[in-house]
Amino acid sequence: MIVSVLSPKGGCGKSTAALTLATVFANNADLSVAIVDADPRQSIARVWLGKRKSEGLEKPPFEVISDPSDGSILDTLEAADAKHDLVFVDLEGVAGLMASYAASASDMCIIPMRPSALDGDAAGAALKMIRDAGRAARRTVPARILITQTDAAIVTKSHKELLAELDGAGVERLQTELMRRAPFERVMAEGKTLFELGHNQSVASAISNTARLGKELAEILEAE
Amino acid sequence: MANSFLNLDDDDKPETDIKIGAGLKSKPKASRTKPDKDAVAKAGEAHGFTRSTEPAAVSTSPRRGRPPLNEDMTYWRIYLSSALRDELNQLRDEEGRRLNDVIEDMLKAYRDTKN
Repeated sequence: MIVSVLSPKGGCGKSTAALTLATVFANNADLSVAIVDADPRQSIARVWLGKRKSEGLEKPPFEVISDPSDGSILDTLEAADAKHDLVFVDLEGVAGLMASYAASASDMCIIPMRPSALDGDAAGAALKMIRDAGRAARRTVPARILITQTDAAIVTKSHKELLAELDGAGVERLQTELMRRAPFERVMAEGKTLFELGHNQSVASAISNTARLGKELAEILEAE
Repeated sequence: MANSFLNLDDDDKPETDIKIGAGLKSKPKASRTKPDKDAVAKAGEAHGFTRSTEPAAVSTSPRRGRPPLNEDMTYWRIYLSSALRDELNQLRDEEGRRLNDVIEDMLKAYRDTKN
């Protein structure tokens, strides 16, 4: 199954969501998991993997496939889907053709967004694009909003307003939010998976947060 | 409301025992035909999803406007001070020298100093 993580807005947590979700699913040794890094900046294939190599860490528990090209992305996704049980696609935070191609080949699209008006605007454009890219591919591509970088202790006014607006408009969203937690930043900075970070309460909370999100996603994918 | 705030269960599994997605293994993969790229691109373009990762087609027609209209160029982000950006914009407007021209000049000058 292919799960694309996309939004035309940068900084909303696409790479973090793809990386941490792949990590918790790959913790199930029965599952074969991959990430296709389709972002020309190669945050995962170049930066994260490069950090792992320089730190002498062993191979990650999932395959990382690099393909930041419009011309070959559909072939790459087809091959990755044939080889793995679950493939996450990390896309660049721009309104690119690549996002449309990936959406059309996906079993699910996740649109990360922070509780902000700008992210909301970008998420709206992404939802419409996914709907129409699916139609062009003669299929329905399910999509879910993922609220990211929220505060574990405080629900801001804009956060409440956003949830009310999404629910009022009937936009489907993942009930689990990916909170703003230091370990999510450490994962990128240290080239580690969540499970490889030193054990403390903060890391445990980040793992628990991602595991809840993973379970919710798994239930949706299994039901689709 | 018991146990709403205090987790008194002692059967919590260690975090490393997380095992999710077991049902995905047995789920048969949907067979589907490859999407029509042109139709998908058009659908995305209708919502502003237009940026391509492919270089623009090389053209022999005379240079026109700012890149990348008809030249083989690729998108590249660069951070500059606003003062330097203004100076480069002025150079482009007055002399037609664009940032990529300036960078080419710099590279050539650098290579000349090495020879």
